[in-house]
Amino acid sequence: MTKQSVAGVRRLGPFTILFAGALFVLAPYGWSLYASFVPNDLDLGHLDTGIFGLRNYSTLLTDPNTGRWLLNSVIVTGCVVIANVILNSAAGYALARLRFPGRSVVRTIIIIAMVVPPQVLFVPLYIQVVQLGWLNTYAGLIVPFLVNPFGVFLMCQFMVSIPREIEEAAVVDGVGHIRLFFQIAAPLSWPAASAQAIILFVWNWNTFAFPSVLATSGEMYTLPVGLFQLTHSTFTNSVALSMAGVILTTIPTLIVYGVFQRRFMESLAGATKG
Amino acid sequence: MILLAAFTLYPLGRAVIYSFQDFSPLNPGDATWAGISQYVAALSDGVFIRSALNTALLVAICVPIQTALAVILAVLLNGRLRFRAVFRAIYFIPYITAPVAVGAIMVYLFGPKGMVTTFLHSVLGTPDAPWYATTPYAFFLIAFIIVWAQVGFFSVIFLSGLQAIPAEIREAAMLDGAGFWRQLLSVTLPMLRPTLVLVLVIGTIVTLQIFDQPYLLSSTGGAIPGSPADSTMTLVMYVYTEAFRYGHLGQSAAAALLIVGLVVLFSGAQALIQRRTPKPS
Repeated sequence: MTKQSVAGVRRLGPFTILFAGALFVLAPYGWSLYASFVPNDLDLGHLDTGIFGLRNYSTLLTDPNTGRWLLNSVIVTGCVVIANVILNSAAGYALARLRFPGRSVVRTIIIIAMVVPPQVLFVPLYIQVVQLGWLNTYAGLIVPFLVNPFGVFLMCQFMVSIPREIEEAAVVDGVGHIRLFFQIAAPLSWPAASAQAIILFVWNWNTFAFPSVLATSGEMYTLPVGLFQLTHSTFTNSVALSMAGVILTTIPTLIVYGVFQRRFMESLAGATKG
Repeated sequence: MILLAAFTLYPLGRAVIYSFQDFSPLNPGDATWAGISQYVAALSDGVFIRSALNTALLVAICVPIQTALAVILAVLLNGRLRFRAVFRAIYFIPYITAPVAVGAIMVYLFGPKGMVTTFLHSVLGTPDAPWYATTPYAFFLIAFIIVWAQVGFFSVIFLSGLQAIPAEIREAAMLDGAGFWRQLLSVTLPMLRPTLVLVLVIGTIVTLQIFDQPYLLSSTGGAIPGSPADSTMTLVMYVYTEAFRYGHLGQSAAAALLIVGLVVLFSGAQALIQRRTPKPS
């Protein structure tokens, strides 16, 4: 064998493995996409593209329940992500730059909140939401998740890395902290904030455990909770319909991920390095 | 000045209040205060013990497999390769898919007359029955889904670790005549050690807290979560079902705090190991 062909095999080997792996990863999606276009479950057993149709999707999208779930997911995820970006940045800025009494206490609290697994909050959070009368309301699904300790921590780390000189120049010009934050710190930390927004979007869009507890009536379900009910209640007779639901739930995250892929990867790698 | 301080402090104050509010019902004196009886109740509950064992087994199975696969993937993805970005993107998709969606797909693939069920039945002779309702296959199915969903995520972390290895080191090894495998074993893996520790710890913590996948799969068709016969019950599922299915709020909270203890223990172990690991300079 010539040297070139050895190199060729070297390069082809990894490619083949990766390709096979990619097929393995994509196959379930392929199947679910296929099933979502088949109007009748009975036809799922044999391949016949002639029967493809959008009936499952139109059924889901015109159904008042699913439409409502989609709307709920958009409202809840939207509010949570926007609020998180603003509040995490502001809190991160305060922690990074301001000297105020109790700063180290606040810092400790944030680190504790990061370490504690969220599932611990199932019971206390549920009780609290019930006491506030927020069960099955948007407030209950949104307010507890407005600030993310992890987000505050990351923003704080990023703000610390902004050169102080930039701000000092502004301070000399007589600029106060509010303007400092909005005109200097916030724009400079935009890369970190937007990357965080993407992660938070994916997490919140997909989250199941908490909404399933905090939204108990059908009209307040988010898409994942609704999908869970859909796959359960119609289990025996509509595989195709719930696969259409799967695709509908997955598409938004795929779009966000596709558009912001590069930044998403960077921020994840950065975030996990801590 | 006061106004300014108040304004920047305000969001922070909210953050603090929320973090306090979330914790407050767990504090002594509140609804959950009943001495250690709740802990005793949880610890002496056979289901709790079973869920702890299941979770430990999941960690023992999933973490080594997904870490090994992730390293392999990352090394392959780090080479000069066509469509590298495409592959990386594809491997990451399961991680950003809602666990509910993944669960729904898998339920049908591994369900009665499901494609995978039928295929494996004819090839490997596994039972021609829904995997999620058959012991011990339900457990393996969940382990499989966890690995399937997380490998891409961890390989991205490894990839960033690989790219942090200075090219000079690799070139030096190459000049010394080190082949691919030699490089991998003597240069790449030792340099990856900090990343490896990180991935092992994150993987362990995430798997310790696993909830969505086993909950969704085991309760398919209205079955009791953890079925068949508690073989897929995990610790967090125990916390969830005790509270919201059986109404044992105190016992659930006690179990939850026991999990915190476990996770803190692991985080502490990580900090220790990382301190001992010599930083590559």
